[in-house]
Amino acid sequence: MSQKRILLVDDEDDIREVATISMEAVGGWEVCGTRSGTEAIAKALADKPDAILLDVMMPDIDGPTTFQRLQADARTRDIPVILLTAKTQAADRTCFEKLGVAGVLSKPFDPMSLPQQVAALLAATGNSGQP
Amino acid sequence: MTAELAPAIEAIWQRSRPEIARRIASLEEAAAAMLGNDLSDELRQRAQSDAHKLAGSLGMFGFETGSDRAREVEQALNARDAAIGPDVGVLAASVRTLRVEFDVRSRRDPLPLHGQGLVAAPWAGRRRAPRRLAGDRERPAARRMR
Repeated sequence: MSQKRILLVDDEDDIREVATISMEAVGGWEVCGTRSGTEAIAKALADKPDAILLDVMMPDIDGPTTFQRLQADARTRDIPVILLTAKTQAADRTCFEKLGVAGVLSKPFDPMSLPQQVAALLAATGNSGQP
Repeated sequence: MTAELAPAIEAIWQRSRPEIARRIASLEEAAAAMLGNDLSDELRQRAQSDAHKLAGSLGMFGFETGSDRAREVEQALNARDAAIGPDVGVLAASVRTLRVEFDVRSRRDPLPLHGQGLVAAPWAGRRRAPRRLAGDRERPAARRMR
């Protein structure tokens, strides 16, 4: 069975690096990282990842808008997307969940448990959370 | 697994420290301007963005209190437009605490990644490992450090 691939989108280098190490070393995923929503859409179209971990606040197009654009394209709408956010207000989280994402995870994340959290959210939405 | 992860995250922390220090300096600048009743919108927005980024990242390095302080600063800056106005005292105190904790943490070697299951070494951050007495059994946390 081939290794599952996750597209990691965050404009912060340190967060992308830590999440990559976590998902690869702890979770066993193959990780592809990008720093913007625009790049993420292009990568999703080209690589068809098994899941996308998407930051909410980014400089060009934000996470929710990126998600909506992925949803609008038949080629990418079935890729499960998990939002990653440092926003802690319940109202923000509810708003994100209503978009139809596979889940919302909080930043800062625990590098040791991030892959488990991703797996649990993917499994809950009927996607295999196992790489 | 933890033995592989901790040094890698430590290396990222070391690389990220200058940028983290710059962001804390930005918060200090905003706090000083606020205390002087001279906070421009531009500086407030920049500090808000820096506080948000710090809040979202410091905890993944095991610096959870840093994330908490940065979040307090972000919320205080957000409150500027609210009817009650900003809580300048809270903001200034949080920035001061963040600076002190960051400086203390920066002097530690290695990075204490406690609290998140990475390295639960109670002596993490000390320069010397505790002396072991004859007959002492190695503690599990000590094994994970290696």
